[in-house]
Amino acid sequence: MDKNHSSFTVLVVDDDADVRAFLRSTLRNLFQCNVIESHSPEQAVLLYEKQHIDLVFLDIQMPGMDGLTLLQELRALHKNIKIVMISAHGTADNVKKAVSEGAVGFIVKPFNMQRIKAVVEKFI
Amino acid sequence: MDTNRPVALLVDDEKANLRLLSELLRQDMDIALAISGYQALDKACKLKPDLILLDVVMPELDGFETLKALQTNASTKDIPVIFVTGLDSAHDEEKGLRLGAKDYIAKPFSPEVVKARVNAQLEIIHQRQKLQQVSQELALADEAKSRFLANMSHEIRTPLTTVIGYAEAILAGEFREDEQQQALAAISQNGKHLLELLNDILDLAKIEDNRLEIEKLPVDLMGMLEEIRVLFADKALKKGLAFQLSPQFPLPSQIITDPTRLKQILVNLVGNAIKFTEKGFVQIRISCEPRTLIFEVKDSGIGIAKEQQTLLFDAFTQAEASVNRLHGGTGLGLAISKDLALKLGGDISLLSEKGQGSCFIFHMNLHEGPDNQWLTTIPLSPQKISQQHAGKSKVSKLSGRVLLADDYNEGRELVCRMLQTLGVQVTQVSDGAQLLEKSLAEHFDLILTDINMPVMNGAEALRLLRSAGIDTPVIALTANAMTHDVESYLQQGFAGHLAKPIVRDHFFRLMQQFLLPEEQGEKPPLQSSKEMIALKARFISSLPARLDAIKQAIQQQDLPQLQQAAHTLKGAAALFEQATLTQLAKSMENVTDFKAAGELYAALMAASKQLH
Repeated sequence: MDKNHSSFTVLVVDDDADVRAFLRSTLRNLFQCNVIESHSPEQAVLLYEKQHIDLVFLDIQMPGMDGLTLLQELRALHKNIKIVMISAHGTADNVKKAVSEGAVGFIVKPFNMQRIKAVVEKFI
Repeated sequence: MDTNRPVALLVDDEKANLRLLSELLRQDMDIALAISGYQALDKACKLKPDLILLDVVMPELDGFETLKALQTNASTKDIPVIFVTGLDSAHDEEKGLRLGAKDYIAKPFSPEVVKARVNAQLEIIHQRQKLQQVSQELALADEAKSRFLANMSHEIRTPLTTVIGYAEAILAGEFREDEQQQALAAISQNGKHLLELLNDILDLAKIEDNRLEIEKLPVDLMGMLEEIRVLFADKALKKGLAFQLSPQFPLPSQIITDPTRLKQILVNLVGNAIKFTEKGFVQIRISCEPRTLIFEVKDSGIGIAKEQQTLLFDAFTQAEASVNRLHGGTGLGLAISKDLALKLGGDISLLSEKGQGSCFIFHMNLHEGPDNQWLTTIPLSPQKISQQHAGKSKVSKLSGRVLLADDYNEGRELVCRMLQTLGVQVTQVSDGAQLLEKSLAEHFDLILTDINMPVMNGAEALRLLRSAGIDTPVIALTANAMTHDVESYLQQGFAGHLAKPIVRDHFFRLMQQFLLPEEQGEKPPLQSSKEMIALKARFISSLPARLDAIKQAIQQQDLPQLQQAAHTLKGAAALFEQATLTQLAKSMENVTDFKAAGELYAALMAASKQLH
């Protein structure tokens, strides 16, 4: 990890403030990158359109719209968007759906730092 | 008479006609002549012509009657007949054809028409013969295969009977401790014999299909011979046999060949020699001619009678010899070795007399390796091999976490034990979906997986694993051990391949490649930054609000709200490694009635008060 990582931005979409805070601090610590947070799917879509975002961490289970549907919508709107799904339900079914909808990674809660590090390094 | 040329019998009472027809046809076939029906019958019987050209109007026995007579005789009834006649009414033609004539040519005939029709008949005859021949060959091959299969299933059934019989007797508690040891040894031995048989059958099938791949590698000839010596010296010693390698110098130090196949041939020949020799000696003589390398394996054993010597190399006949079981081995070894020798540009022959010992002579094309030197004496490097040999038996301990997926419980249990012997920590699952879920949730250093599993197969699990961003190396465990299968596994991203049943040495070597030795120990624990501590404190301070949300949902009997609140609590609690809270929140997420929810809420409250 060299180069100027502050040049990339990660959007974290999760309804739980603690999860968002954890990811924010972890990502900042690991990569010195920008982290934007969103608590809702609707807000996430708006944020992605307004800002330059390199990577999205997206929770699968959220009130309102579930993450897999949001994944589908974001992918339809932005073909090259890179989305890593996060979920407490790391079921084979969820992974299959996420991968077939074009997610570039899948991370389960509770988080493992190395997994987060590996998945980000792959795409940045 | 040229045997390949067809023979035609021409029958006509007019000699002029006979002359004319034979002039016309002699270029393409051999000709026999008859000037009456009776003579025709006689000659047809004796000569068995391929075709008869028959006049109709003849004194005594006319053509129609002659044909009828031909058809009553078994040896002539299938000979095709063409009428050549001055009778040209439709009625006569019809009669002739009805009687079974193949064709009907009216006189006066055009020479070209006769030639064409006769040739058409001959063509048909020729094709029929070819078909008969092919079908005969097929029938023979089919019979040979059926016999082979029948023999093989017998050969397979016999050791299986032992395996099952002993295993069930042990299960039923019929054996004392010491008897059990014996029974287990028999099971293991018979199991290995079955494996050997299977490998030999596969080898044969590959050779027959021309799918056997021959490698061309530089091989250290003396090293190879030393390996053979190490492999058999003990066995020979135990039987009280003198075992001798006698290289006839000069010999090349390095040759180009397929080491696996060369070794297979030598192991087979030397193994047989030791097996069938009760006293005396076994000698391997290695010599060299300008472009040929010769291995002679000579013994003072039982010898082989002349009439059996050719059968010895035939897989189909060898397989029936029950002598093989007595002595071990599958009986296919020699057939395979001979085929392999041919593939290596050589052959195997045999000099033997019953009771006088045998000498198998294997010669192969000699290609010198790039670093070849001509040796005039045995080089000094035998330590290397004995060291290798000693290293095999000692299994060094490894560390790490391994995930093992296989739906076949017994097989998985066995691999698990082998892994535990190495000192690694093993987690077992029984299908690809579980593999995926486990490896998402936990970190493993290595994954071993079967390919064919229910729910999700190993290849699909690997694909999803990679898509989920997990790079843990994955090794395929499978029974499909064909080379092209192995290649396709590697192409799909498997880091390696282990064929079942697993060969211990190979298994341990592969594990050493992927797992660290024990001394290096565990990886350092994950960082615990100040920020982490702050975040955890923040989580704890958020607990009352979170529990409040749950309480409200229960009071309002709002199940979706309750599930959502429990779900987020579960996620956050797991994040900060709060096992009790996580478990309780998980239960809460799954409740269906609010009474249970109330109880869980109380438990959650209690658990949260424990945290500071």
